Amino acid sequence: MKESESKEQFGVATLHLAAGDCSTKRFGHPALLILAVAGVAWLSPMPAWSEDPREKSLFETVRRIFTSRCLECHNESLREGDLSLAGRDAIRESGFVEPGDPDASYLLEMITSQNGDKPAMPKDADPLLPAEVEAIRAWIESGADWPDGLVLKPAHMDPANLWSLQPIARAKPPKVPGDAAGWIRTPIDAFVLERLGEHGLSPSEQADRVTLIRRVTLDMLGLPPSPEEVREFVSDTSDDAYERLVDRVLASPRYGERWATHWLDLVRFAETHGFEYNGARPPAFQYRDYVIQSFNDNKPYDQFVFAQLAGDSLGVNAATGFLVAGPHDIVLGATEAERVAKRQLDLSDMINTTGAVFLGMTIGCARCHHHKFAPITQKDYYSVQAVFAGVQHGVRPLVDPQYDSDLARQIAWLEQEMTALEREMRARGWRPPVNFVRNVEKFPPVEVRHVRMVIEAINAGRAPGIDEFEIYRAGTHRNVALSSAGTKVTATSVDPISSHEHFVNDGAYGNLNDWRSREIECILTLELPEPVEIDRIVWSRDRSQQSKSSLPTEYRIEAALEPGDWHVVASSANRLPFNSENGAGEGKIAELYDAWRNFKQRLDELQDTYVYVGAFHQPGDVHILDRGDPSSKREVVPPDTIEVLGSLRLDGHAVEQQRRVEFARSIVDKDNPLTPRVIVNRLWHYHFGSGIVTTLNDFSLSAEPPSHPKLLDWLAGELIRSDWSIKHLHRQILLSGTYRQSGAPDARAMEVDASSRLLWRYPMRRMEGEAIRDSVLSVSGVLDRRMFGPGFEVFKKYVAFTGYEPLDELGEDTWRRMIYMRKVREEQVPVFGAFDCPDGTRSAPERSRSTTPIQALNLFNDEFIMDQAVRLAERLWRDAPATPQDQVRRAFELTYSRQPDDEELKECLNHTEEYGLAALCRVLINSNEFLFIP
Amino acid sequence: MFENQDFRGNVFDRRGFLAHMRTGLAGMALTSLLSRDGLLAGAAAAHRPYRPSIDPRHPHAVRPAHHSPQARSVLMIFMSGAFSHVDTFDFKPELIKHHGQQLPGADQVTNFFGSPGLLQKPYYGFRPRGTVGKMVSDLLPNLADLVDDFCFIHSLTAKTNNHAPAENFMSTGFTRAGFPSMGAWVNYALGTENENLPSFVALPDPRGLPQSTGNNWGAGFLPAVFQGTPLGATRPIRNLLPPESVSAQADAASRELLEFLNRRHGRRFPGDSELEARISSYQLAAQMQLSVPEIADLTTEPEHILRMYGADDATRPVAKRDFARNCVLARRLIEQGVRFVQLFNGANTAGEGENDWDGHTKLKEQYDRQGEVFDQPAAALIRDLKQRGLLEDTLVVFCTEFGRMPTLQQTASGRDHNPHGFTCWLAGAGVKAPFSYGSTDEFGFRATENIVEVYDFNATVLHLLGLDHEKLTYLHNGFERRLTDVHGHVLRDVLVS
Repeated sequence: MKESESKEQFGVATLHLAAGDCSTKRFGHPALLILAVAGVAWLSPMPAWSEDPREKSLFETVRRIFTSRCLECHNESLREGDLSLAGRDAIRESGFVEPGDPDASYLLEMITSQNGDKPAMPKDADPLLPAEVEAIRAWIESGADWPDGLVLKPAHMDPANLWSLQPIARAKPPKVPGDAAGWIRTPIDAFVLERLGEHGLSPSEQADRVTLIRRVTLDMLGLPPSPEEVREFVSDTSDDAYERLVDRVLASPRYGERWATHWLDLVRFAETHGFEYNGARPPAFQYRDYVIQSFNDNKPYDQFVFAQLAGDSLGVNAATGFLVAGPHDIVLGATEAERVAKRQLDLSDMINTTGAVFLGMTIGCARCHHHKFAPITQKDYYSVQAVFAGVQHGVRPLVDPQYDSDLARQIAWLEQEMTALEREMRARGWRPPVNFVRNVEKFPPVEVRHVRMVIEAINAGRAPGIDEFEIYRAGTHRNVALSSAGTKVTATSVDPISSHEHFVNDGAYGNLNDWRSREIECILTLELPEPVEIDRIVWSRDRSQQSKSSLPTEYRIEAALEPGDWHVVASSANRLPFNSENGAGEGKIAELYDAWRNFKQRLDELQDTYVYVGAFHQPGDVHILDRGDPSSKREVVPPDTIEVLGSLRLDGHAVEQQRRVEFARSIVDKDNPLTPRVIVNRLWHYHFGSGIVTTLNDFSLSAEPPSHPKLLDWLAGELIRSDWSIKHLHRQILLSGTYRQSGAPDARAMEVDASSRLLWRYPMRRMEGEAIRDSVLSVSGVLDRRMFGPGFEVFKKYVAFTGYEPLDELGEDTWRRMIYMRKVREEQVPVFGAFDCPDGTRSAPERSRSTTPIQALNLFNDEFIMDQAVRLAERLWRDAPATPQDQVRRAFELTYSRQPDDEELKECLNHTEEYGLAALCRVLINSNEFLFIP
Repeated sequence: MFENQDFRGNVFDRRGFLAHMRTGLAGMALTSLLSRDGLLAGAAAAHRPYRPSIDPRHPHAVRPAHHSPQARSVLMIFMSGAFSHVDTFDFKPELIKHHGQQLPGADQVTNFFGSPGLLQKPYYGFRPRGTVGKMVSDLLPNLADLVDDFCFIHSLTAKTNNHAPAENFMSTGFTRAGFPSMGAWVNYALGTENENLPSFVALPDPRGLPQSTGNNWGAGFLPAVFQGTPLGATRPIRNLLPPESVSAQADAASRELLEFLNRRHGRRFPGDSELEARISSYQLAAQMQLSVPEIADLTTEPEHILRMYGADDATRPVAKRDFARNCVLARRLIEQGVRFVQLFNGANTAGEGENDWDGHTKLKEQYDRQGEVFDQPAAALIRDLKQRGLLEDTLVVFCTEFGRMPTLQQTASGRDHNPHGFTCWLAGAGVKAPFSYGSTDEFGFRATENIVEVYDFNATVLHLLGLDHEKLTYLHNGFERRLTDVHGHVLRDVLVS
């Protein structure tokens, strides 16, 4: 399946693409083109549907052949080679079929061998069987009958043909004979054992206790167990020792940190924008913290999903960081076409990620044509686009007073105090100075149609900028400046690199959604759709609080009913000076100002934590785009979920938030079999190294079918039965005999199933980069366990265009877990990045596990590792000061959770004697036993 | 067919690989048992991709091409910042004639920095060169002497006119970041003939990185093992050598102890290739510690060779000397069997056009300087490859992001971005030379004849390496990904055979 990028609009390139593409060029048979064109003119009309039973069955045969062999490319949506075989009209127009005359029918030529060559069609596939060709010939000969109104769909467009869309079966664990020695511990094992039996395989015995505690701890927490934990578990002979171990790791706060790493991979989370200005975003870590907390709290998965799509409807603002976790090009481009193309790419990123992560459906495939392997139409794609069409990259306040009455009360009180102070200031002829996040201009009601801001000076920087300009209808909270209300905006100067004048009235805040001028002196003009009485204007430089410059300090705001009839309604003339850090001089006004500033600061702290969780505004119409081309608009579609999940029954004017709320409900609807299947498969993948369905983001027909379909359904059912409890699923898996088996290989079983997909043993695997780093810090004893908050840096300060240079030295502040390392998109973290860490450009459902000399060089030679080796050596001295033997033993306990045998002890002592303890520590950190989940 | 099915999911499914190699039948049996769905069989048959079988212990082992290759290796010369075709290789007499006039239809055009100014004749004089009298400007006199070896493509078009997306597009076939670079695809398909060196090396301009930085040589979703290793005469591989505090003796002994512990551990898991691969990765790393400093040590080059490149100590400016050293290094890498070398000229570190080809505002002044840095070293590199016979099986690919406008930028003395038509050239293995393919309109604004997309260009490069761009795929997130997306046609007209 292929997803093509949309055709951006560049004159020749576009024409070329639009005309060429996969159709005529690839199919470029000159005769065919002539035929296709001429055919329309001289082809006789195809007869209507006959009731002759012989012809009926002939048609049924042809229908089956078309459906299974031709329609994948030649359907109503795709029309490869300008041919659709889906319906009577389409076939008639194509000129490929001459009813009654097979020899004159080009279709037959295409599917029959010419000069001994393989038939031209089906392309890249086995030819039709002779009997199939004959059936088509007979059908044409008999007049190419076709039932009225019947339009065929390719087999893959029929939901009944896709296993993943079928209702979750009530799978009962099979009764398996030959459960040797009570191997079955949870229902999971019965399913696994059954499949093993079918292949003549048997499971492995239970792993030893050291292996078990290492496996469970590394898998669940991403950190090795302490020697004390190992000792306790190994010597615990009670029946429920393992069960208590499982409960302990599930209750550990380290669990959320470990499993959030998996989730952040999936949602392409990073804290920079990507592209050429790969600069830092406004704070985005709150989303990461939300994910960690959700795992630790065992938040029901349906709620977890819902919050990420529409958490703003519950006051869980951090959760919607999901929507905008992906890359975003802040260079907008100078042409409308380019801006539209880039917006399409942003939306496509949201749609693809949402479809892949929650549904295992590559909805993005349907951007240019219907999906080739799943019943997803182009209409589906654009319906989902209409759901997300109001989501912009940008910021919102982290907390919402609407959902926090305490906060609301505090804000109201502060505002009241400030208003009183402002009144007093105004009585003395002054107003507070301008600020970056909110400037209110009040004036007596006046009827206007035109409003403009004439800017004359700024606080610092090159030229002024404004992220939002709001005009309020007198006596109301209705902002009439919004573009969605029909207001038009122009500016005398615009910097095209990253800004646009339309951003001042799009309802979205922050640096990313602003207008910036290239000249200091400039004018921003808004034209309302009709005359309105207004009494208030609110404008801001940057509500995400990133900017420290470009703030207009000298300006006037003018209004007019008729063009040119300008009169000043507000200006900076009566504001206190901006640069009045030391107060506003002497006397009463200074006192008032200081008090006001104090309140202002508290107010900012309360409500102005703007974070990168998306900005929402009411979208306009969404059209289906022919072949994904923004210039080829087709019909308007209302917001909806994909058709196989039902309908949201919304119209095109549905409120923005409601679209996401309803869409999220359809994702977690109890009748949607995809969501639970997809998540339990992911959990399985992370526990065992590969999924029951190996294509974790793709449950279409192109996916490999599940290795254990009944087990998959049992797990999915279990998730729903447990009210979507992820920890319940973990527990079922961890307690299973399947999970507890040894990883030792078996020559005979390797012959049958070398990749252990049927789970005749536990598949051992190398840890991810994060787990390696965290484990090193843990054994050296310096791991900083502080949770949450802003991440630490491993790169030098960002300088545009030069990329990210690693810091020369990594101090104590970098000894937190790697999930708290600020994630730079498109950049590999030194040392650990080489271990296949995803780069945040797209959903990464699994990591490749490559082994490279570059990894070896980094892990063996890097200063950070060397430093940690020294710290581990110091710890060994502290923990076991008596003899070198004790130190080596302690080193093995810490890194391998076991004692060295005699030969290992001897070799390690020799090495230590010659080169010191740190040299031994460096070796242990690099060794397979330390780096693998056993 | 089992080769596709067997490697769904993790290409580094090591145990699966072994089964595949030893008992392909067993793998196939399981596969057929697992794929119960008849519909799938039809779907899979229609898309029969070629996926290389990769031995995890030797991920860079040489793998067969799809068809007999013309080129064994690729040297890509990447001009960062967008190289002006109208001032260099694309001669337009009409542009000179209409200097100072409006570009017809200019009001319909919007560039990156707004509407275009007046037509600007080339900033450099053109004269006929080589046996065929190809018109090339005086900006790059040394390279101009080599036109008999070049196959020009004058009709390239790009899908974007922003730098980073355009670099991504040229290097990966997609404007967004995160897709495998061409070098990574080639590395994945073919492996390398010299496992002691990285098989894909990127040589960024010593002045800094190109605008889309590591995306140009990234592995995207391919396994990390296939990514390019950034290197340079002035830029060592990070962590290639142990810190100075570790003696060579201690280092060697530590490596021995590591292997002892790993082998002992491995005894409990006989035949586990993932564990074995890690052991051999440390051996390879040790090899690299020897071979990389050796190849980067240019003191073994004769003085006259260094002078020919401008890589000798006396060369000024320093930017030229350092770039020349990268050119020498590029030749040495190709000579040693490195599969793909990506040599960058230009870095946007000091503002637009200062250290790269992004001549928006003072093109002449900046190109004078860039030409001085680029011309002699690059020409020497091609001459040197040729005199050593390396050009016979090396494909040289000269490319950039997009072209520049035939008009001036408003209120400036430079040219804005132009994705509608620009020039790249190929040289060496398998391509016609001297030869010119395609053309732009009379002003060099839009490609008009034999229009070439970057997809076609990239498909042609793969073809010369013996690879079918439609078959070289990798299944990722449900998409059968290719370097050429769903586009691309090999430019048969530029091929010798």
